[in-house]
Amino acid sequence: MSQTTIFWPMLAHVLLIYIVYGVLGRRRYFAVKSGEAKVGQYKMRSTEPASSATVAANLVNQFELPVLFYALCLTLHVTNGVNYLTLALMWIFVATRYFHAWVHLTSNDLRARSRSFFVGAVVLLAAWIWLALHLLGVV
Amino acid sequence: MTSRLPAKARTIPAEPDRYGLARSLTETILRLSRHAAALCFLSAAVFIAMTALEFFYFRELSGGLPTLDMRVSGFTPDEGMAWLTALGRRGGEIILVWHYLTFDLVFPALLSLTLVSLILATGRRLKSFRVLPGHVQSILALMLVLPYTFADYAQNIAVARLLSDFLSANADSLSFASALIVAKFTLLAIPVIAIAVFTLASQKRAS
Repeated sequence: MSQTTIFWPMLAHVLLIYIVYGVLGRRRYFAVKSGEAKVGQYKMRSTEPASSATVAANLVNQFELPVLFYALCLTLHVTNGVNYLTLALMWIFVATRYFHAWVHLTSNDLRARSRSFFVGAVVLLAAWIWLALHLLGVV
Repeated sequence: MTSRLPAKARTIPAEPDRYGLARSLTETILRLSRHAAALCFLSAAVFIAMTALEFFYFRELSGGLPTLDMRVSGFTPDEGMAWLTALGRRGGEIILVWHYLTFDLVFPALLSLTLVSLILATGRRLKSFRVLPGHVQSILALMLVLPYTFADYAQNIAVARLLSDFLSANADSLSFASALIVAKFTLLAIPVIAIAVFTLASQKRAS
């Protein structure tokens, strides 16, 4: 199977990051426009207006757990470990990140957010375990 | 001698909530109706993407033959084999990667959530449905939708197996995949009909 297919879930996640950047920019712009925040506030990034605080937090989230995802995708590619299972796991992980971001940027329902994070983390862990087994030659 | 410490209130251990998980699940399902519009939009977007891939890419790979998923009335083993042969190993891998491991990995779940949300949203317009307890409403919605979900995933696995292991394709495995495709569409019709009936009944009542 083509080993480069593993880069598509990565690209899908990169797209998500840019979407979140877009939403953040938009919310900050409207926060300034409506008088909720002042432009100077962003100089030191000391306080974030309420309307964009969750988006900023979500953007930070995109560079936490997904770092493991990027490292795993690259490792799978280098070690010839891309197969249908790992590809499916990576796509499921990306889907959970999209859902997580959607919840975070809209209702910010903590239960739904934590569940989607948990599912993503478990899927990623399963893929890392698979990589370990692959390196050991078990699978 | 009396203690100077304030009297301790008797601790009453909390009763374990045996139905906690079931209640939480029911609440989650019932809340889906609030997101019906967003779910409809997402399902439609994924469906459009899948259809575009089918007509602009997959049919080119198979020489114009429709994907097995699209054959509502099923297919004969010969028709199935003709599709697999036309695709070849490369075409099969492309369809696996770009259909079964991407969009169709989430689509059955997404569509199921959409159907549940629509059943609840349209059902609640009817008094006879609205008076039912929350857990009954959610169980009813799940009973209408889950058979479709399982059939769709089972069909995806059956076709994906045919594509990944070309040699496993024989008359039996192809007939099985065909039966699952027919079952999927039949079971999909049930929640769709339920939503249509709920909508029509509520419209009739309103007029």
